[in-house]
Amino acid sequence: MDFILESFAGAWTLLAGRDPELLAIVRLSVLVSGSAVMASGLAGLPLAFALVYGRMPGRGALRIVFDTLMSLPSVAAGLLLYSLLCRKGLLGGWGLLYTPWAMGAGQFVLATPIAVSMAAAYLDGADPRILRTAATLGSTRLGAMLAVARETRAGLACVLLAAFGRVFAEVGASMILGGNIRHHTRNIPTAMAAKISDGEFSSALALGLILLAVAFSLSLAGRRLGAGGRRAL
Amino acid sequence: MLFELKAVRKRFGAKLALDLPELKLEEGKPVVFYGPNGSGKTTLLSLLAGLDEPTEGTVRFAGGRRDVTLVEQDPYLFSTTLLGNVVLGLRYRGISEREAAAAAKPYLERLGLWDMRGRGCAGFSAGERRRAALARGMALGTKALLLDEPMANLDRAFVAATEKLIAEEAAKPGRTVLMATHDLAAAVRLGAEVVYLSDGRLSPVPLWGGVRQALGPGFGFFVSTGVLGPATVSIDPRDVLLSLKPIDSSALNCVLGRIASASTMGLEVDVVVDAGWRLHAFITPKSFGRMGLKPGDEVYVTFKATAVRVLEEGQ
Repeated sequence: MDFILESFAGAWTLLAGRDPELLAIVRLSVLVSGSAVMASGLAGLPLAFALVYGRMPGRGALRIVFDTLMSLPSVAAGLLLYSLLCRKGLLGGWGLLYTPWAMGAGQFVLATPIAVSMAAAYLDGADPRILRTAATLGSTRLGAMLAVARETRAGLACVLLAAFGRVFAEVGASMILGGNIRHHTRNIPTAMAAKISDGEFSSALALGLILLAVAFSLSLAGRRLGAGGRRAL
Repeated sequence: MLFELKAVRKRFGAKLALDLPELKLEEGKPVVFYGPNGSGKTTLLSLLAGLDEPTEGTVRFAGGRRDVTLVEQDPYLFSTTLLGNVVLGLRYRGISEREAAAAAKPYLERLGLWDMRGRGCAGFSAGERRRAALARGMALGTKALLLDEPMANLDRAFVAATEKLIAEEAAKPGRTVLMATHDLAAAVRLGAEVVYLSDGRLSPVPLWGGVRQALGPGFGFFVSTGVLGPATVSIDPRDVLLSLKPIDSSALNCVLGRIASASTMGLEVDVVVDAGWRLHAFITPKSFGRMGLKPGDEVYVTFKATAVRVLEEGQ
C-alpha cells in the first residue's frame, strides 16, 4: 500500500521539479492525442451528420460497424497499422513507423468510431425542429446542418472529450506504433508501462496521476467552453 | 395558382393523416384552415411549406423554396439573441446584419419585443417565443406566409395586435397568408376563405358565409349568448337534426326547410337545407336512407341554441 502514498509524493515531486523530460512526455501526449481527436472530429462528425440526416443506403449497417469499432482493442488497431507502416508494409516507404505520426494515426483509428457513433446517437436525440426551422427560414441543406451543429455544440464537444479520454490513456497502439523511444515517442501511458516493467510502481502511478491531472484540466476547459455557449443562449 | 395539390395523401405509419383529391390556393387570397385538433391542419401546412413530402400525389408551388415560410405552433428559437433569431432568415438570404435588423424592427416593436432584442431566448415564456417566431417569419416578406395557430397561447395583451398585424400582412400585394386555426371568429375577422378540415379531408364550411342573420326571438333563431340583431354565426353540421315532422324538444330552434343537395362526405352524408338561409347537416348514410330523403323534399331542421356560435356581431 505504501507505494500509493509514495506515488502522490512522487507525482508532486515530478511536477514541482518541472523535469524537462517529464514535460516533454506530457507535451507529446497532449499533442498527439489532441491532434488525433481533432482529426477524428473533422472526419467523424460530418460522417455522423451524413449517417443521421443523409439518405444513402446502408446507413444502418454502417452505424453498427462504427458501434462495434468503439470496442476495437487498441493493440489490434496498433497491429493493423503496424502491418501497413512496417518496412514491408504497403505504406512502409513513408518511414512513419516509430514516429509520433504513427502514434497519432493509431489514436485516430481508435477515436473516430467514438466520434461517429456517439455523435450520431446524440444527433438522433437532437430537437427535430432545428432542421425544420432552419429550412423554413431559407437555409441551404449545409446551412441547416451547421445550424444543428451550432445548437448541439455542447453535446458534440462532450463526444470529442470522450474520444480524447479513450486515446489519451491508451497504451497498446502507442507502444506498437511509437515504440516508447525516449525523447521521441514516449508519452504518458507508454512511460507508465515502462516504469511498471522496471518495477517502479510508485513512479508509474505518479505518471498516472499526472495524466489524470492533465485530463482534468482539459475537461474543465471543455466544460467552461460548453457552459459559455449555454450562457449565450 | 399559388399552390396546387393533386391527389395528395399523407400517411404516418398506417394512419391516413391527409387525403385531399384537389386543393387550389390563389395568390393574394388569405385562407384559413379550420378544424378540430388532429384534423390535418398542421400536416397540410408542413406539405405546403415544403418541409414534408406527401406519401402520394403532388404539391405544386408557384415560387422558390425561399418564397414560403411556416411559423410553427411550437416554434424553435436558436441559442442566440432574440434579434439574432429574428434576422436569421434574412441573413440566409445574404442581407446584411444592419439591413436585416432594420427590416425586423417594425415587427419586433408591434409585438412588444424590441426592448428585449439583445436578450437570449432561453428564459422566454411560451407567449414570448411565439411572438418572436411570428416576427421572425413575418420579417422575411415571403410570397406565402403560413401560420399554425398563431393566436393560441399568446399573451392576452398581444392577441389583438397580432391579429391586426396578420391582417395587414394579408393585405400586402403579392403576399398570401395561409393560417391554421380553430378560432373561426378570427378567420371571419380576417376576411379569409375558410377551408374546413375534418379527419384529414375537406368538408363543407359549417358557416353561412357572408349571410348576416338577425338573431333572437321573432327574428331568426335562438342563441345561448345575449346577442340580438345582425351577426355572422356558425353551426356545426354534426349538431343539426333532420326530421320529417316538427320535433317537440328542449332545442329552441326548429324550422322548416327544403333539401337543396345531398352528397357523401367520407363516412357521412352532407345534407344542405335551404330555409331561407343555407345550412349543412351531417347524418349517417343509414339515417339518410331510412328517411328516404332526396333533393327538393321538405324537412324540419332542429338545433339547440348552444349549437350556434356567434362569430361576429353587428354589421
